[in-house]
Amino acid sequence: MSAMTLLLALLVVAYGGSMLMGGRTLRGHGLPSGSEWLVLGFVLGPLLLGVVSQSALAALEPVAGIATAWLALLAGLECGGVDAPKLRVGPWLAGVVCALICAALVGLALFVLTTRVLHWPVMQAASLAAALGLAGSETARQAARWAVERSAAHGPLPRLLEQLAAADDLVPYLGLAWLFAWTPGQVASVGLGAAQGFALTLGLGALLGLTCAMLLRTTRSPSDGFGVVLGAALLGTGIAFRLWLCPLTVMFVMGVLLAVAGRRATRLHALLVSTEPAVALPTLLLAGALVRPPLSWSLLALCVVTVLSRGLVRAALGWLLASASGAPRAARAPFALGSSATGALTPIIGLACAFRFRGSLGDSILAVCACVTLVGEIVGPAALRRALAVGVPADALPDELATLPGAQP
Amino acid sequence: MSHASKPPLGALPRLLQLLALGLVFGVLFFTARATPAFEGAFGVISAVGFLLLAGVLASELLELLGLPHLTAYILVGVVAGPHVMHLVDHRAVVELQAINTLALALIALAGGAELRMELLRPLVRSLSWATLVQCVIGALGVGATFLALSRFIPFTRDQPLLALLGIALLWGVLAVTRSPSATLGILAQLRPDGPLSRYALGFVMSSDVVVAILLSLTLALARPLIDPSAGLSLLDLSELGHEILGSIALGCSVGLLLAIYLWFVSGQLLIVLVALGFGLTEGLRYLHFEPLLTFMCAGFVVANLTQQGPKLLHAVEQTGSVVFVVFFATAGAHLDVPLLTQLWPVALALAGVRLLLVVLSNRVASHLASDEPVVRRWGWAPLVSQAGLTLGMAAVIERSFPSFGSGFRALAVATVAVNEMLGPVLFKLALDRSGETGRAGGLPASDLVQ
Repeated sequence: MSAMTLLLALLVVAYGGSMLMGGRTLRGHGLPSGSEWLVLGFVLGPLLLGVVSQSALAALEPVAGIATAWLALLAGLECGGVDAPKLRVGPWLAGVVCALICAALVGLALFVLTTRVLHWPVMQAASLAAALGLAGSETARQAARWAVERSAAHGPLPRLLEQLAAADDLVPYLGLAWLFAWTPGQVASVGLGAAQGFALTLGLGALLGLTCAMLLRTTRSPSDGFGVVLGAALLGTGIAFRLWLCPLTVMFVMGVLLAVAGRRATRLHALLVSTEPAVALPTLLLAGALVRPPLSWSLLALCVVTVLSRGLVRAALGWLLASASGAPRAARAPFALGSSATGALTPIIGLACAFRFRGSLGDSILAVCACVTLVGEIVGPAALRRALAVGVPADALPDELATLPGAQP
Repeated sequence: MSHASKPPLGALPRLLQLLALGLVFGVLFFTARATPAFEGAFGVISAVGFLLLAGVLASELLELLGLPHLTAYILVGVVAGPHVMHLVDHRAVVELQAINTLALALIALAGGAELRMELLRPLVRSLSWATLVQCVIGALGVGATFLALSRFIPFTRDQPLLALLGIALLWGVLAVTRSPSATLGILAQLRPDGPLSRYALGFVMSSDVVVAILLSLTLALARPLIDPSAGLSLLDLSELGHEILGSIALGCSVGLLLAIYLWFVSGQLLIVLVALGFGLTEGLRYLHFEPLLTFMCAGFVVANLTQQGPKLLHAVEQTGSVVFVVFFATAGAHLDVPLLTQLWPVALALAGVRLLLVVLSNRVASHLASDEPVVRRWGWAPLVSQAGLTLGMAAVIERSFPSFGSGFRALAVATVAVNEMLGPVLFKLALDRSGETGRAGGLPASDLVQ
């Protein structure tokens, strides 16, 4: 398949995605975050069926780079307040702390595995542990929203779930900025230290976000505004790649500031947010095709340890939060299990790392991210739905859920 | 690039825009200095982003001087391009040709959709005379000037007279090409309505076909003059017939399909247009059909045979507002400034004579067709711009005559540079002076207003 054919195929996927997805989640079609496209990409990719050739993928790598950065921008917009539940300090802090604990513990487990058992060099092990720890620290916004929308439930538990999912994105994005800036030999090549690189990442995002917000006050149509945001996004993404900074963080910060400082541009925000389905599905497809796992026992060990450690940490944290929020005892276990839900962010982090750490390290990170995504996507949303069914008063549930066994009388 | 009647901005927003423009230049300047040897695709991405952002900002600022938006886009490209600040390198400029593919498809679609029969019918007499007179006087006059200046042109100095005649003929045909993209760019920005804007649209879009035929005829005529061993061959005309008829047939089919889609589905038009722009152009290259003509026919069919024209124009406007900025800025970055500084006296002379002849031809044609006063007075202004179409034809001539082709093309690039900068300014001036700017009631462009 040539690069042009692949591009057209991706456009068809984008078209299908945006037609199927009425809002921010797949309503009634497929998995909440569309992770089955990740599998489809892998099946069609060079490793299995070979429908998508290596050269076509290489030609479209920049497209994947832009798409991941764009999704980070949309996440930033949401985090900054567009189309998001109103964040309260308590749950927000809880989300951030949970993500930090999860990233630290999963990273630690992987660091021990890679240095003590697999005997990797410390630098490589630390990079892998940090990347996968950060990738594992998210609770998918899409999965949380899917569960809440599907159950149409309201009350403290659904609110907590949405707030946690919205808040914990901050940790992976900021962590990645540090990881990209800290990895030696890259940022150093342009004469920047880790702290400078980190500051530059945030500064570039902030500069572009504020510039866009300011310009949106003077542009007079949403399409011109869209041009301004797209231009800033491409500029920021290109510069981040050139300076070896983290493009996801640059775009995330830009999105947050664009949302905060440019609140009046509501039509533009709606226009931007509506692009998510059209961008997310082709990106997942590309990410799947780009998964080139170095087939070895080490990779299997990495997958198992990541999935297990993440599942355990998430479950423990979920249990604690559910208990603290006063959720009924029967809802705590499914809530704990459900908070391990993953979405588009995990493979996107994997993809960004695969571009950043070329070779077996990047390939391993992407492959493990894909594995974690699938497990989380399959286990999480169903458990969340169950948690909402048993954890929300019956009068706050739709009929179909109120009749489920275990639903609160 | 789409607002004729917008409220004026105060001093503070303008200052902020200037500051933002400086910041955007500064950020890319710092990056380019920090990574001088960077040669990845992401250099192209940052270039696109820069051209888009800086182009929009510069167009807002240069509006104060009365300059059209697309001139600002071109200027940004020139300043940031490989020959001045080198913020956008050669590789990026070459890679950005892919965006040109999409932009040209959108321009042609919009152009075709703007050509509505009820607007064209009253213009038939006027357009016929204008096409005839502009082609004859323009081609012969500029060709004669080229002949007169031939001893100052490096690649014609040692040519025999017959060969010189052939080359002058080719140059004459090149001189009667126009720029549909520049015309549509100005019309989209100013949303004019009136005899002048209708005339400009009708003339420029139809001249594309006329010039293609003229070039094939001239190539067939010039070949035996330039190369005495070559005979007169009508093979070019046969290929041209295949190309034109095939393009029209395919364009009509695409137009009908597009209309059906717009009628029944109409959602996600942005993705459909992007896929059509890239995918169909690729197919057309394989078939050796003319993309501009095909897309123009498709737009024409949608606008004239169905009720879906406004929908199509609206979608093209939304997509084009981003694509056109990059398209014109890339054209600016592509501009070979060192070559222009080398050839500017000849280029300026040829462009100047062309301008005079365009004005003269307009007077003659308007008199013969009894045009309205505004067309008599300003009808020449939209015909000055030259851009991609002219360069494309110069490339065809270069391929056909390798012995002098590269010099010919270089001179064409230099002349187009002059017309590319001057033309849009003159056309905007004409629309402003004739009072048509912002009267978007009659032209379909009014449908584009958000």
